[in-house]
Amino acid sequence: MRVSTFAQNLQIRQQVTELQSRMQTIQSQIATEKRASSFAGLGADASRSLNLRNQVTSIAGYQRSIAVTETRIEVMQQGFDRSRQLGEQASINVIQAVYENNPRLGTIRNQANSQFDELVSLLNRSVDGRHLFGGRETGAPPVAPADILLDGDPTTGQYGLKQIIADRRVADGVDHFTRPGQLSVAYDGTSDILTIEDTLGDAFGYQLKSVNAGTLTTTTVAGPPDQLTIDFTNSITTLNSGDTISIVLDLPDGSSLDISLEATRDPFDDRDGVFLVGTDDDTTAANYQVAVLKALREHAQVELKAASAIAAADQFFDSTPPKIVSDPSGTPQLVDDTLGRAVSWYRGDLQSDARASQQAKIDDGMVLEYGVRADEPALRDSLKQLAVLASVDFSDETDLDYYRAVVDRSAKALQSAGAGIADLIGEFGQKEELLVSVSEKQEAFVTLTNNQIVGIEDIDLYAATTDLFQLETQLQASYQVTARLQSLSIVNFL
Amino acid sequence: MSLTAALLNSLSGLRAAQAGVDIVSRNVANAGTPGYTRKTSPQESLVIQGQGAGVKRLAVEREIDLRIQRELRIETASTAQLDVVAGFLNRIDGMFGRPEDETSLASSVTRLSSSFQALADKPESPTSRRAVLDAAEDLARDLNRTSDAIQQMRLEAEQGIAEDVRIVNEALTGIEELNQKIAVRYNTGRSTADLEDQRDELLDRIYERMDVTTFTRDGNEIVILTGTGKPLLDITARQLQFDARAALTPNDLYNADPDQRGVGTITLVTDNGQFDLLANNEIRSGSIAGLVELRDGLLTDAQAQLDELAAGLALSLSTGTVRGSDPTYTVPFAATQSVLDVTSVRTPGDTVTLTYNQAGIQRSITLTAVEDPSPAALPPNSFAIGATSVDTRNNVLNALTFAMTGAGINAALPPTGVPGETGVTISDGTDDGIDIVSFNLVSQTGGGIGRGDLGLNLFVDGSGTNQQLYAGGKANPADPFSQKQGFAQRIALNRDIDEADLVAYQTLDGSGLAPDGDPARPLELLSRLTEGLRAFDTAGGLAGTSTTVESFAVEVVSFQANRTAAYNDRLEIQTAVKTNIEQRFDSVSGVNVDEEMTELLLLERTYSASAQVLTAVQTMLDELLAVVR
Repeated sequence: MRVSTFAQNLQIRQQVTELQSRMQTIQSQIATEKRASSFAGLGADASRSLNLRNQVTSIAGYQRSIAVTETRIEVMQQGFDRSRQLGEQASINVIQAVYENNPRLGTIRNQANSQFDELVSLLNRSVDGRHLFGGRETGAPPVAPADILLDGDPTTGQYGLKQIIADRRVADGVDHFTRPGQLSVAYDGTSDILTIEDTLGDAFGYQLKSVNAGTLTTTTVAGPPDQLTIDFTNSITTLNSGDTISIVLDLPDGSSLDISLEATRDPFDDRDGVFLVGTDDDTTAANYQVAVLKALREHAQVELKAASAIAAADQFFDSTPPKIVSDPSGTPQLVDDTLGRAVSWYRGDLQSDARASQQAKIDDGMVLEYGVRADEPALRDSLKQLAVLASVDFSDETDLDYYRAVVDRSAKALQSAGAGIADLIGEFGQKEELLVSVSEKQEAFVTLTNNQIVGIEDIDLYAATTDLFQLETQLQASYQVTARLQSLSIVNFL
Repeated sequence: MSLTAALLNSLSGLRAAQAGVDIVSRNVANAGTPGYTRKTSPQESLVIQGQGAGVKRLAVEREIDLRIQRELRIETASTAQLDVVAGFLNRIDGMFGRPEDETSLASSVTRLSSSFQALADKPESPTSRRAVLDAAEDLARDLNRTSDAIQQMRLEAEQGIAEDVRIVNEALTGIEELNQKIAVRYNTGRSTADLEDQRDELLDRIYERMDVTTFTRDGNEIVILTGTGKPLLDITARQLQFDARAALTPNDLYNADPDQRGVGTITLVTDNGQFDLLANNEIRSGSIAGLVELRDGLLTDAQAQLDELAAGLALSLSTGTVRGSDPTYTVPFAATQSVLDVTSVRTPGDTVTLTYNQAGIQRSITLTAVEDPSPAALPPNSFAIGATSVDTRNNVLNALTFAMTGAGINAALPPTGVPGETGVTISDGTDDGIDIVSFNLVSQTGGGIGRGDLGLNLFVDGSGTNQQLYAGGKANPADPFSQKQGFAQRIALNRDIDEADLVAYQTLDGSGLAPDGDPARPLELLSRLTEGLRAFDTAGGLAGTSTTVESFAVEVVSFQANRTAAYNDRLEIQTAVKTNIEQRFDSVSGVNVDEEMTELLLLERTYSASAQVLTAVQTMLDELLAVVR
C-alpha cells in the first residue's frame, strides 16, 4: 500500500501524542493515587462512590451525636449517683443524730443545708452551657436557687418552703389549744356521749378514721363534718382497768396515728395515756375528754407537726405552680398558687415526656431518647426530703420526739427515692451500653466502607507504576522508530 | 523529417520536464500541508496533423479517492458532534468536583442533613442553628450556580450555532464562486485541481458542522443538498438564517411553534419561503447537531433534574399537616363540628382527609388536589386547585359532598362553607353513630402552620423581596410552565425564617412555641431528607422514582457522570474510527517524498537527454553549414 509522507508523520505524531496523554493520566493517577479527577471518570461507579461517601458522612454525624450524648449521659449518671449518695448519707446522718444517746442536733441542719445546696446545684448542672435536668428547657437552671427555695425570693416578694410549712402548721392546727389538729372534743356533761368532730373537713389536721372502745358503743358519721361518738353509758360497770379506747387518725402526709388511752380505776395512777374511771359515767366521759385532748395536743406537737411539714413539702414540690394554704388562721383552703405568691421550685420543661425531651439520632432509623427532668419522682423526692430537713430547726432538745418523727418520715422517703434513682442509673446505663455498641458497629462499618471507597476511587499503585514503565518503553521505541524513519529518505542516497 | 523538427521535439521535452519539476517541487513543498492532495500531470505524445511533434503535458490532476473522502466527511461530522457534546458535558461533570473533595450537589444535601443532625444534639445553640441556615443557603446557592452554569452553556451553544451558521454561509458563498471559476477553467481544458482543493476545504468546513449531500455535475460544479434534498447550493448559494437569542432562561425552550419558541432556529430561505431545518430534523450530525442536542436536550435534561431535586428538597421540608378544629360541641347548636381552612392547598398532591367513626369502625375519605384538568374530567377522589383559595374551598366542598354521598354519610355529617370564606365545616348534629374523628389537610407548603406541625418552609422561590412560596404547580391552568421549571435557578433560603424557627414550632395544645431545647423539629427535618421517601417525577431522562431527597441528589450527580462517561467513550471510539479513515485518505491523496524524488530523477534524466539531443542537432547543423561554406 502506498503511504504518504504526511500520513506517516501524522501517524507517528498521533501515536506519540496518545502515548504521552496516557502517560500523563497515569502520572497524575500516581501523584494523586486517584483513578479519576471527576465523577465521569468513575463511570458507573460514580453513584456507589457518592452513596458510600454519604454513608461515611452520615456516620460521622452519628458518631458526633453519640459522643455528645455519651458526655451528657455521663454527667447525668454522675448527677444520679451523687443524688443517691446524698440521700443515703443524709438519712444515715439524721437518724444517727436524733437517735444516738447524746443527740447531735446542731449538726443536722448544717449538713442538711449543704446537702440540699449540693443537690440543687447537681440538678442545675450544665454541659457546654446546656442544662441537662430541665427537659427541653435547656437555657436556664431548672431548679430555683437553694436559698430562694427555702426562704423565698426577696426581690419578688414570693415566699419559700419555710413559709408554706409555717402556713400549713397553722392550718393543720398543730398549735391549736382547744382544737388540736382541728379536732374538737365535746362533752355536754350529762348525756354520757362524747363527740369528736373534724371541724375543718378533709384538707387539714387530724382525720378521723375509726374508733374502738371495747364494750362501749361508738358511732362514726361521715361528714362533713366527720364525727365520732363514744357512749360512756354504763362505763362505770363495764370499763375495767387496762381496757383501752383507741382512736385511729390519719395525718396530713398520709401516715396514721393510733391514740389509745387506757382506763384505770386507780385514782393514783399518774401514768401518761390513762384516764380514770370516775364515780359515774359523766365523770368518766369528762376524764376521757381531758385525757384525749391532752394526747391530741401532745401528738400534734410530734407526729402531726412532722406530717404537716412533710405535707407542706408535698404541696410545694409535687405540683407546678405549688399549692398554697389560703387564710391559714381563718378558713384555710388548699389552692393552686395561680397568682404566684410562692416560689416555683421547678422552672424546666413541663409538657413533654421526660425521656423524649432530649433525643439523639444515633444511627439510621435509630433515635435515642435520653432526656431527664428534675421533677421526675425519684429526683424530686430526694430534693423534697432534703429541703424538709434543711427547713426544720433542729435546735431545741425538748422537741426531740418531733425531730424523730420528721427524720423517720424523711429517711424512709429518701430511701425509696434512692431506689428510684437506682432505677434511673440502670436505665441510663443501658443507654450508655447501646451507644457503645452502636458506635463500635459504626466504626467497623466505616472501615469497611472506606475500603470500598478506596477500591472504587483509588488506583493500584503497583499496577499504575508498571503501566507507566511499559508506556515509557513504548514511547522510547516510538522515538527510535521515528528517528530511523527520518533518516530513511531517498534524498539521503541521491 | 528535418533537423528543425528534432530541435522542436527536444524543446518540447525540455518544457515538459520543466513543467514536471514544477509539479514535483510543489508536491514536495506541500508534503506537510494538511488537506493537500498530490498533483500529477500526465504526458502524452504530441501529434500534429498526423505527425509526431514531441511530448505534451496534460492539465494537472489530483489524486483522490472520492469514496474514502465521502466516508471521511461523514465520520468528521459525527466526531465534531460528539466532540462538542462531550466538551460541554465534561464541564457539568467538572462542576461536581473531584469525588474525594465531596463538593458535589449530593454532598451539599448531605451537609444540610448533617447540620440538622448536629442541631438535634444542641437545638438551643446559636452556632448549630446558624450552621443549618448556612448549609441550607450553600445548598440553594449550589443549585443556583449549577443551574446558571447550565443556562450559560445553553447560551454558549446558541452562540456556537450562530457562529457555525455564519461559517456555513461563508463557505457556501465561497463554494459558489469557486464553482464558477472551476467551470470556466474546466470548459477551457485547464487544470482545476488546486481550485478543487480549495473548494474541498470549504466543503469540509460545512461537513464538520452539518450533514449535507453533494454531487458533481457537468462542468465539475458541485451541488449541495440538505439531508432530505433541500438545495443549499445549486448554481447560486442559499443562506441559512439563525435568529439567535441574547439570553436564555430555563423557560426558553425549543418549540416548533414560533410563538412559543424561546430559542433560535435555523431556517433556509427557499423560493417557497422559510424552511425550518430544526423543526424538520434536517441536521442530524456535525457540530450544529451537537449544539442543538445540548441546547434542547442534554442541558435541559440536566436542568430538569436539578429542578426536580430542588422541588423535592423544598416540598419535603415544607410539607405539613393543618388540623381542622377539634370536633367539639358548639353552643347553641349542640352539634359536633370541625372547621378546616383550606388556604394552604396549593400544590398538586395535597390531600384533605376526613376520618370518621361509623358504628365503631374508623373509616376515612381522602381527596387529592390536582391541577385544574378542565375541560377534561377530574380523576376520582380529587378536587382542582382553584385560582383563589375560595375557589379551592368550593371545589373541596363539591368533591367532599360527592364522596360523602357515595359513602352514605353526607346526611349525617353534611359539609358546608360560608360563601366567600376558605373554611369547610363538617357538622354532626345527630346522634346516629356516625361521628367525626378528625378533619385534616396535608399541604406540601403548609409546614409549621398547624399546631404541632414540625415542617418548615426553609426554601422559597426567588430571593429578597421577590421571594414567594414554592408550590410546584401552575399558578394558572393557562400558564405555559409550572413553577417547577427553572426552580433550581431561583431556589433560595426563606428570608422570613430566622434561627429560632429551626426549633420553635407551634405546640400541639396551642399553648405557644416549643422551648429552645426541643430537638423534635431538627430530627423530623433530618429524617425527611434522609429517610422520608418521596415520589420524584421523571426528569430529563432520569426515571421517576420513590426515594429520599439525599439519594435523589446522588442519582442526579451520577446520572450526569454516567452520561458524560458514555459520551467520552463514544467520542474516543469515534475519533479512532475517524483517524483510521483519515490515514487511509491521506495515504491515497498525500505526497510521498521518496516517490517525488524518484520522479525528479526521471525528469532530470529526460531533461539532460533532451539537452543532449539539442547539442547533437546543433553540432549537426554547424557541420552542415561548414560544408556549405
